[in-house]
Amino acid sequence: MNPRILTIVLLVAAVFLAIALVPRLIAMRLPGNNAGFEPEQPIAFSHRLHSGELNISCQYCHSGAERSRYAGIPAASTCMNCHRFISARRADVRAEEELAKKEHRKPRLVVSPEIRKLYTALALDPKMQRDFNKTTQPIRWTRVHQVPDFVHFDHRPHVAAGLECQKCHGPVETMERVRQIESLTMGWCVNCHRGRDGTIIKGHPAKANSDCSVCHF
Amino acid sequence: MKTYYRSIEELETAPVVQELDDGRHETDRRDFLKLAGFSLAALGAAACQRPVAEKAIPYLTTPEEIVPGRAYYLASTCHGCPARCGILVKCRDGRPIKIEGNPDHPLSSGGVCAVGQAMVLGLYDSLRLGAPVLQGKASDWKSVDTFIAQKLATAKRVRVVSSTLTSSTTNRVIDDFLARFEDGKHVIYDMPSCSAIADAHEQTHGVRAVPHYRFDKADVIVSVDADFLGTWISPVEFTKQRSSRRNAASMNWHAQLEGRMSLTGSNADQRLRIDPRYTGLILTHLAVLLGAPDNGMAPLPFKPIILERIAQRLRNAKGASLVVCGSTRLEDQILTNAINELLGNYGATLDIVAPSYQRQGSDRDLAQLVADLADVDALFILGCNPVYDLPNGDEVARQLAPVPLVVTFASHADETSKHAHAVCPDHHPLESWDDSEPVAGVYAVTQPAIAPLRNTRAAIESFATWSGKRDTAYNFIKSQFAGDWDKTLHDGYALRHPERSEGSPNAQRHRNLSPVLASAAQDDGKFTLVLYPTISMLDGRHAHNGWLHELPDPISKITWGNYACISPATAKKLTLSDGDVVQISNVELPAFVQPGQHDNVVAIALGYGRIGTDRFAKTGPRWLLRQTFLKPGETVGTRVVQLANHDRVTITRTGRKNLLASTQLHSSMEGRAPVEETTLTESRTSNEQQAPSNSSLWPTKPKGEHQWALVVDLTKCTGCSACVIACQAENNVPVVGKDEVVREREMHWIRIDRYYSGEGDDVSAVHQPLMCMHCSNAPCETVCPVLATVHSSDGLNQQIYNRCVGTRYCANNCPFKVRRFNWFDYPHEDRFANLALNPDVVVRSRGVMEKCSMCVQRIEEARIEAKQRGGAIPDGAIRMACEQSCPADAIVFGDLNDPKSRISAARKDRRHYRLLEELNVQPAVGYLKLVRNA
Repeated sequence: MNPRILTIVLLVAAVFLAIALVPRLIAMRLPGNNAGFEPEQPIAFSHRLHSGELNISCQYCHSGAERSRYAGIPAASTCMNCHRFISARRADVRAEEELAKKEHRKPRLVVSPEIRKLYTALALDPKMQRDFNKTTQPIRWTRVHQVPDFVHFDHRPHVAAGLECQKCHGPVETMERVRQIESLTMGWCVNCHRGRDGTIIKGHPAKANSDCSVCHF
Repeated sequence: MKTYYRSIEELETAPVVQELDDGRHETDRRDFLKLAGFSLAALGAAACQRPVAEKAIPYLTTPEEIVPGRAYYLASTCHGCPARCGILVKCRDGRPIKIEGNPDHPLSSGGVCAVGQAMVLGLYDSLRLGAPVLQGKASDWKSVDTFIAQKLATAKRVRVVSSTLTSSTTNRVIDDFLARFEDGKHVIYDMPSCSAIADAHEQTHGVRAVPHYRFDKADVIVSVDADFLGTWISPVEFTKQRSSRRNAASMNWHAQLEGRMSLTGSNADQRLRIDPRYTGLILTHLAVLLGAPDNGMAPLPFKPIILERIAQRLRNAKGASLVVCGSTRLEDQILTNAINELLGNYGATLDIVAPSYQRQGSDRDLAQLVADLADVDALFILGCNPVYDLPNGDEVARQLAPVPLVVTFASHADETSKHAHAVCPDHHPLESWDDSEPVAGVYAVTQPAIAPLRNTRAAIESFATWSGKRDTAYNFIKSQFAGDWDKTLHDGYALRHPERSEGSPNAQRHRNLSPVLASAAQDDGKFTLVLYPTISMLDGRHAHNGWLHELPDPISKITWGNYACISPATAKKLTLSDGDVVQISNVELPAFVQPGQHDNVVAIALGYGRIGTDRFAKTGPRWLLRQTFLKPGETVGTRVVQLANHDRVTITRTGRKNLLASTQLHSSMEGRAPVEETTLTESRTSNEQQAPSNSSLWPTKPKGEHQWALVVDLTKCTGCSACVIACQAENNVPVVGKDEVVREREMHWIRIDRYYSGEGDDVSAVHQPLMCMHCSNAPCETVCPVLATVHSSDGLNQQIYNRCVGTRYCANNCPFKVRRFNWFDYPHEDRFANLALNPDVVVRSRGVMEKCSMCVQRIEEARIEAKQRGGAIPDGAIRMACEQSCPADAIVFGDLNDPKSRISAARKDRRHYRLLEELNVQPAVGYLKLVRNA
């Protein structure tokens, strides 16, 4: 083959390869860095709605954050504190009410498909009573923020120190589906523990013990 | 939340590790390169992928008071032996993971022994019977109940045989059940038996009871063959009592006369080897020395000067002394009672008004039962295993055959259940409701920490069902209880006014004394056989527990099996050395040379040779050179209880060798004196304390917020090994199996070194718990090439598993040899047993060094709680796992930065010293010199 043609072919191939690979390389993360993880959840729960719009405090649901290592995912019974009464969007309920008025009947209970999943999990009948013919089915959420098994992260001291949840979890109140923002790698942890990333808590620069055994044991 | 659900997730999906077979697989160069290339490619591929996302499955309705991820404690009672110590069961996410002592308990005061700690592993035993067995086949409760009801319809003579139950409710339910029959009787036996003590008191005091001993009130303790710190009646309680008086201000004096070298003997101030044949004679001499009439005794088989010295001490401590005897012969016990009566000890150090119920067995009843077995219509066997336990077990097994109905409540397929028509497995104690009264006036509750894991049924419920009064165990217990139920449940016990025993415990003084005048028998070249329970196996009831099999015996330091102990002089005479297999009657055992043992005694541990222990063949890592140390059907150790029929035995060598898996290969201190010993008088007068050396080439480390340190009081430590199992349970220490122990690869983070001193008659032993010393100038830290072991600001020597690459430099440079290397991935494929793992501590993988972390997970927990509360960590808020359950209160942990802490006081003690001070490694762990009251 003509060496000149070969060169051109190789060059073109190299350009294509670069175009294909560079974005991947840029997006490449070191193993263990899961930033950007945004898995689909069994129920399309919106933090934007609950935390952002309705302004429910984080710890109303994640009450473990100040009592346990794990902030925890709320039990379905916690959801039912509100969703016993709220089964669908207001607009949908209104629409059903008007339709019922038009048709001269009592309005039916409107249940949105996502909230229905919650009722199914708890095996509730339309009157919100436990239906003993059905079995309960715990909700299998996918964990978003996760550190390896050799790390013992504990929420309590971070909450006690007055750290904002958003510092590690990002602006969850704006997220329709929760995404991991920070890398949660050791370097990222240590930067804050050593007071090097400029985090301010209650007007003071953050600083904490950075002994290995604070997390690794 | 993470751990609770993750473990269930793993339960469903964890891959089963494939077993390597023993054949070597040849791998040629090409295969190797292919594999290497593939692994590299796989590694590259794996690095780009996100790890599989975990599922997080919350409760549907959170149970009240459970916070996922947070431990909670339930007060309960230990069922490891009939002593019934108070325990706190630590649970995480609904499952028990650790047993701690209940510090408020009136008897055990916070101590738990090794056996009690190991109960949690027994709960998650995958070989525990999961359903009732009928005629040898797995069945269901309905069929079993129908079968038993059918058989009972015509039964007249019904017997229940059990070990000591201490539970008044269970006893009452059994009595109700037996009342339905023309001739029903509940027979109780203990192994080893304490029946003679109760029988003797029936004769001398008119009450058939075992007294409640008060070692804390005794200035002088004389024990004749009673291993009261090890296994005798209530060892944790007795250790607490004795150690409360092991201080300079009010130190008791303890003499031990014994045939073998027991744990108690090794701690005595004065120890005398005796041939147990002469126990009666020696006690008679002692009684005479204390003022009993001399009716012409045979001379002592040793120089009387020591006995006179003991008598002198006893005379000086009238009413504040205690003589105990472990003999199973009635006449010895009567003599012991007479001596205590002469000394005025009843009412002071022995309580017969509020006696102990920890041993209720009666040898007479048992003999009667065995004799009548042919005429019995139905036999129920609860909490014991007579075919294995009894010396005439084989005969009992033969006699069981014609009995129309034999029912056991065994949790495993055992020797007796083979001969039973029905096996009705009882719940594990951590799953059951029960009550107990170990000592008159102390009422204790056992509450379940988890719902039954298997299809078992409480024995109380079984008996009630067969009586036609079906109810739950909870209702039975609660209906029997009068008082503040909630408080009792919270505390784990309630104190009551003891019911006065019937009959006046009026001593008939020593008028009843029947002295043993037997002269010394001729030396016939035979040996006196001593069969003893070990601190781990007891009578064999814990034979399915791997932790306990791998727990080194406190004296011999041997794991996995029993052996025949002989004295060094005897070994020389018979030209035997450790591991030489000898034949004793029809039993073959490896010999072990035990310093301090009497020359005419051969001592063998009970509790071994249980069927089903071949399960441990698979214990240990999977690797090519691995051998199974047990073949299918073989057992760990050998059953020896049948030898009890022989009074005197001969020892014959077979010429074969059997490896003993010992964790301490030599007993010499190599001229270094890691244990420092002194006498009481010396310790009172001497002012010396080692001047700490401060010169160092290393820069001084900045002092952190805390300065954690630990001190072990060698005067109090008895070597009982409770700390070893406590540490194993707390820190997920694996069981490695006999082969690996032989290779010196046991993984215990805390070991107890035992050193002998003296020779011949006068051998004593000292015990020294040794864990990581957390040196300030740690030699391990300077040699680690990857900084996997570094010093914390709080004075801890940290080991970071995820950073460790396994060079083992640190272990080689450690002067204390406390580092443990994970040569393998120790098996964790028993997913049921994995539930016993502590989720707060990482399970280490292959190629990683590990060692005592000073329970850093407990320190972190306390630190976080203090931070939330906004105060300092109070002294004593953090307790190491070893410290928490120590029956002798020998371990103290605390912050040196707090001048008022217990640890600061201990550091200032004149007895304080640190190991290898000349190396200037500045350990954070120190010791208090051993003081003997000599």
